[in-house]
Amino acid sequence: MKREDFEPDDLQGMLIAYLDNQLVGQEKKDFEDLLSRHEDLQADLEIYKITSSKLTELFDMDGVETPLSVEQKIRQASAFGESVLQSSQTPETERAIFEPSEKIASFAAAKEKRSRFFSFQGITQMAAALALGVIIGPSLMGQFNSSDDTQYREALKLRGTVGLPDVKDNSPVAIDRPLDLMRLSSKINKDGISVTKSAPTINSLRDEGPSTLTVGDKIYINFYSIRDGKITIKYEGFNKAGDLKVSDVLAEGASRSKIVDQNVLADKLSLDQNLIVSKFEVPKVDNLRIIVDLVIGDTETITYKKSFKVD
Amino acid sequence: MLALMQKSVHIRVMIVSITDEVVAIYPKLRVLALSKTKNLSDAEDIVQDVMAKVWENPTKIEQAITELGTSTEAYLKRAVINRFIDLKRYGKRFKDDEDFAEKLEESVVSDPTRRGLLLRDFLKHLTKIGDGCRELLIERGMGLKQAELAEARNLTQSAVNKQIAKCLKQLHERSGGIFHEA
Repeated sequence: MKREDFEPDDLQGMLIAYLDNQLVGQEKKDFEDLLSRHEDLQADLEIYKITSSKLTELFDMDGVETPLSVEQKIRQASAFGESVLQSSQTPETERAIFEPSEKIASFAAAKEKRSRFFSFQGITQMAAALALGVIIGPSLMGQFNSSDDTQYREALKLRGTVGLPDVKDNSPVAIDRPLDLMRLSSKINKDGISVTKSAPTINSLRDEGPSTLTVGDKIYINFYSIRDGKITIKYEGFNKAGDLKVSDVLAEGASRSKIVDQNVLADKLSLDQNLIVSKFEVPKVDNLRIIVDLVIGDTETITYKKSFKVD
Repeated sequence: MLALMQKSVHIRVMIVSITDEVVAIYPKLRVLALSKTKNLSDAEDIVQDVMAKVWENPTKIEQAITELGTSTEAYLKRAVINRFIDLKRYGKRFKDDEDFAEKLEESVVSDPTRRGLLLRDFLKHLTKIGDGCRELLIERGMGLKQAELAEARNLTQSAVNKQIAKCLKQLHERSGGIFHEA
C-alpha cells in the first residue's frame, strides 16, 4: 500500500475506518504498515481517536435523567398501551364463545362454555382494566370509547400540534379531535380557559398566554372541557372603577346542526373537547373578564372565569 | 386459556421492559432530535411522535427489533432520525431556537466538576460548527454505526468516513485541542 495510490481525503476516511475497526485482514495490515511510515497520519489518527472518545463521553450523558414529570407521562402512556393490547386479546375469545356455533349441541354445553368465559382470569383482567382506568383517569380514557386506531394514535401522543378548521372571525368551533390532552390540560385545566393571540396550536398553548391585552387585539379564546355539558361563553368589560361597561354572549348551546353558524355551538360540549372562539376583538375597556358556564345535567353549573387587564 | 394467560404475561413483561428502556433513553432521544431540529419544541414533538408509535403497537416494535438484531435504544434513535427526515420531506420548517446552544448544553451535561466544564466547553464548539458536521458527530457520539449514518444521508460508508474525518478535524481545530492538553 503506497500513499500515492490514495487521494488525501480517502486516506483520512481510511483512518476513520481503521479507528472503527472496519478494516480487516490484509487490508488492515497494509494500512498499519503505511501508518508506521507516516507520522502526520499517526497524528491525525490520534486527533480522531481523542476527539471521538470525547464525543462518546459527552453523549453518553452520564447522570442526565429523565424528568419525573416526563417519566410519569411515559408510564401513563405505556399503561394505556398495555391495556389496549391486553384487551385486544379478549374479543377473539369472546367471539368464539358467543357466536352461534353448530358445535354447541345443547344448552348445557353452551352454558358451560359461557361460564368458562367468566373465569377467574377473566375477572382478574377486567379488574386490572378497571384499575388502569381509575389510574389513568377519565380525561384519558374518555378518548378511547371507539376502536378506531387513529384515535388511539392521536391520544397516545404526548405532544402535537393541531391545525384549526377554517372558521369565520369570532365564530366558535368545537374541536372533536382529541388534542394533545396531557399538555393541554396541564396548561389550562386550572380554570379551563386560555387565551392566545395566534391560532391556538399546542405550541402556542405552551405559554400561559398574555395576562394583559390591548384594545383591538384579536384573540383566540380556548376552553377545555373536563366534563360533558351545555356551554355558554360570554365576556364582561369593566372600567377602572369596576363598573360594568359592556357584556355580550359569544357562544351558547344550540343545535349541533348549526355548529358552523355565527356564535352557535353544539348543544353539548363533551369531555376533553376543546372549544375555540376565533379572533374575538378586545373591546375598549380597562378590564376584561371571560366567563364560561358549563351546565351539567339539569342542575349543576360550573362557572369558569378569567380576567385580563386591558391597555 | 393457558395460552391467553401466557400471552398476557408476555405482553406485561415486554411493556415493562420497553417502558424502562424508554424512560432511560428519553434524554438521549431528546438531544438527538434537538441536534437536528435546533428547536426544543420540535425536538420534543419528534420524540413524542416516536413514543406514540411505540405504544401504538409495542409487539410490532419488539418484532422489528428482534428481526433487525438491534437494541431498543438503537432502534429508537433510528426512529427519531427517520421521523425528522420524514418531517423535512413533508416540508416542515424548523425555526432555530436562539438559545439552542444553551439548551443543548443543559440537556447534555450535568457534571459540575472541572471535567464537566471542559465537556461543556467542548460542546459549545460543537454547536458552532456547521449543521451537517454537528448532526453527524452527535449521531456518532451517540453510537450510531457508519452504515446507519450512511443510510440516513444516502451516502456510501466510505463517503461518511471522509466526512467524519473532516468534521472531527474541524471540531478539534475549533476547540483548540482542549482534551489533548487536559
